[in-house]
Amino acid sequence: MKNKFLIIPGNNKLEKVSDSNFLFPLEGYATNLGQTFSLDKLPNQSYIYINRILNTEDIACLRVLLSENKEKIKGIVFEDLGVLQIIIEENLPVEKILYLTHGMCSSKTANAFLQMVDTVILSNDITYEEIKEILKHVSKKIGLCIYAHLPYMYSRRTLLTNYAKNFAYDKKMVKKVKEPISKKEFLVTEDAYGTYFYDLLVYDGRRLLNEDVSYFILDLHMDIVDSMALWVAKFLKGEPIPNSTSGFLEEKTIVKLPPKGGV
Amino acid sequence: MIELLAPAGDMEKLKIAFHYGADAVYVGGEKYSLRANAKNFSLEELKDAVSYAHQLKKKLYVTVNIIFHEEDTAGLEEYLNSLALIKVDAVIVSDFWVVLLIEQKKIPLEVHLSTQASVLNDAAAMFYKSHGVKRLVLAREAKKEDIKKIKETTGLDLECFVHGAMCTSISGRCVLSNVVTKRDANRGGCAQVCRFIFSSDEEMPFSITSKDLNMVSNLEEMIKIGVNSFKVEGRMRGIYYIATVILAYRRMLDKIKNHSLTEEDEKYYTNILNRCANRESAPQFFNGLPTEKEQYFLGREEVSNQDFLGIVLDYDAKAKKVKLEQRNYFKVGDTVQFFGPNMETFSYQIHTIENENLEKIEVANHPNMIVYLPVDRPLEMFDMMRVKSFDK
Repeated sequence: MKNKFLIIPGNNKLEKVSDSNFLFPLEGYATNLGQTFSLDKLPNQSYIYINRILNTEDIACLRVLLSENKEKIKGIVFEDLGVLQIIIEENLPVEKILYLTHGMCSSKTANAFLQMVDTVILSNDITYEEIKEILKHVSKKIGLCIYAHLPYMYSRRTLLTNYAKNFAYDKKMVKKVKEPISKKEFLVTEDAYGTYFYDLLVYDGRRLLNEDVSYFILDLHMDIVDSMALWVAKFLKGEPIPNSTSGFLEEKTIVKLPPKGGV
Repeated sequence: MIELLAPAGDMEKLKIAFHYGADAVYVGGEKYSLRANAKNFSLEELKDAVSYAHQLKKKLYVTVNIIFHEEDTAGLEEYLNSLALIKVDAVIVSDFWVVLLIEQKKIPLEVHLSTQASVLNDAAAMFYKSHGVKRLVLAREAKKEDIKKIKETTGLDLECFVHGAMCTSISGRCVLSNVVTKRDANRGGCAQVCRFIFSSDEEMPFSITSKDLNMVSNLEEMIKIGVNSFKVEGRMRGIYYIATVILAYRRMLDKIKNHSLTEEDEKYYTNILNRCANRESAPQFFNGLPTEKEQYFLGREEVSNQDFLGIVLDYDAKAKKVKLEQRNYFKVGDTVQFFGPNMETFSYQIHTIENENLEKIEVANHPNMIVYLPVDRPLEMFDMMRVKSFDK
C-alpha cells in the first residue's frame, strides 16, 4: 500500500498520512489548483504536478528547473507530452506519471503510453464498466482519481476577467454558474494561465478503492481540512460526503444523435 | 510548400473546395472522426474522393481523430490498412495509440497530429516526431513565437487554422458537452456548450463564446515563420461558406506570393468573410492572449442572412445565358454579384429571369428551382451568385 495515494493539498497543514504522498502543484507550471509550491521549498523526493499545456518559453524554463533539481523530484504527474520529452532527453531519474485529463479512455491508449511512462491516470469521463474493462487489459498498473471537483473544461482565455471587463463588474477569481437546461452547476476559477470549469459537486469514486491500481488521486485543493489524517481515515471508512456525485461512473455518453422522429 | 486546406463534409463540398482553390481537403470517414453527425464518407466514397483529388494533383487527408474508448477500438487497424490501400495522402490523428499503431505496424500512412493533441511547444513536437509524425496541426493557442520555435527545432510541416469557429477550451480539454448533454465531445458528439448562456449570481448572464478565428492580417507573417498548411475549419458548413472562404484565402495567398496583397484587399476579404459566416472574427492567440473583445457575451450578435442566391449549372456562350439553381429568394431589379475562381467578381443587375420552361418570371422563390439569366460575361459550372454587399 506504500505510496498508494497521491493527495493534492488544499488549504490545510501538510500533515503526512501513511500510505500517501502529497502531489504538489508546481509553481509556475500548474494552473487552477489553488496553492502552488516552489521546487526549492519542497522536501527531497517529492511528487510534483504539472497540469498546464506549456508553450515554448515555459518548456525551456522547465527543462532548466527540472535538470537542476533532480534530487527534489521522485515523480512528475504531467499532462503535456513536452514534459515527457524533457525527462527522456535530460535522462531525469523520476517516476513518469501521465495524466491526460480527458484523453486516457481505453486500454489501447494506456498501453501505448505505458511503453514510455511508469503509469498513467485514467480519465474521469468514462464509466465504471469501462474502467473495469480497461484494468483487465493494461500492461502495467494504472491510476485512478477518486476524489475531486472534476475539471470539465480548461481554456487558455481569462474568461472571468473578460466577463468582468465587458460588464464593468469587480473581477472575481471564482464564480458559480449554472447551465439552465441541464441545471448543472459549475465552479469557474481563473488564474494567470487560464480558466477552469469544475463540477460544483465533489466526485466520490470510493467504489473504485478495491481495484488494484498504481495510485489513487485525491484532489483536495478546494477543501479546507483541519487534519489530513483524520480526513483520509473518514474518507476510507466510507463516511458520507455531502454534495457529491459519481461523475460519469454510471453515465454513458453518446456519440451520434438518434435519427429525427425518434429512436 | 504552402497549402490551402479546406474542410469537406461530403463529395459536393469536396468538389467545391477544390474548384475554389484548395490544394488539399480533410474529410471524415464514417467511424473514428470528430464530426460524427456530419454526412461523412464511406470507404467506397473515400476511394472515389482520393481518385478525384489525385486527378487534380491535389491531396486528401482523413480524420481519425477521436479519443478512443474501449468500445471504439475494434476494427481500427483494418480501417487504417484500407486507407493506406486507397492511398489517402495522410491521416489526422489525435489519440497516441493510433500514432503508435501506425509506427509499430509499419502501416504506410503519413501521420498528421490533430490540433486535439494541443501541441504548443517544441519538446512535445519532438516527442511526436520521434514516433513518425510528419506534420503537426498546432494548438489554436499557439503564439507566433511558439510556431517559430517549433519549426526551428523540429523542421516538421506545420499546419495552422486560419479561419473558422474556435473552441473556447484548449482543444481536447473539454467535456462540457458530455456533462450537460451526455454527447461525447472527444468522440464527435460535441454540442458546443461553450455557445450556451449560463446563469450567474450577477445581473448579466455568463457566457464564454469565442468569436471566430480570422488570420487575414497575419498570413504573410505565418508564411515567414514556417507555416506550411493554412487550414479552414468547418466540415459541417455549406458550399457557399466553403466557396467564399476558400476563394478569399486562395486569392490572398496568391497575392502574397506575387507581393501584391494590399491593406485594401485585406479589408475587403475580412468584410466578405465576416458576412459569410454571420459571425465576427479575430486573429485570437497569434499576437497574444485574446481579451473580452474576442468574445461574445450575450450570444445574439449572429445575424442570419440569405446571401447565397444561386449556383451556376451551365453557361451558354452563344446565347450568353446562365443556367442557375436557386438557393435563396431573388427578383427582377435586384443587384447581385457573380463570383468564381476563374473570374473577377462582378456586379450584375437582374433585368430578366426565365424559369425552366423559358417563361419570364418576376421572382425566383422556390428552393432549388432552375432559372436562366442573360449574362454577358462567361461563367463556369460551380460559380455562384450572391447578394451584393461590398464593392470590388
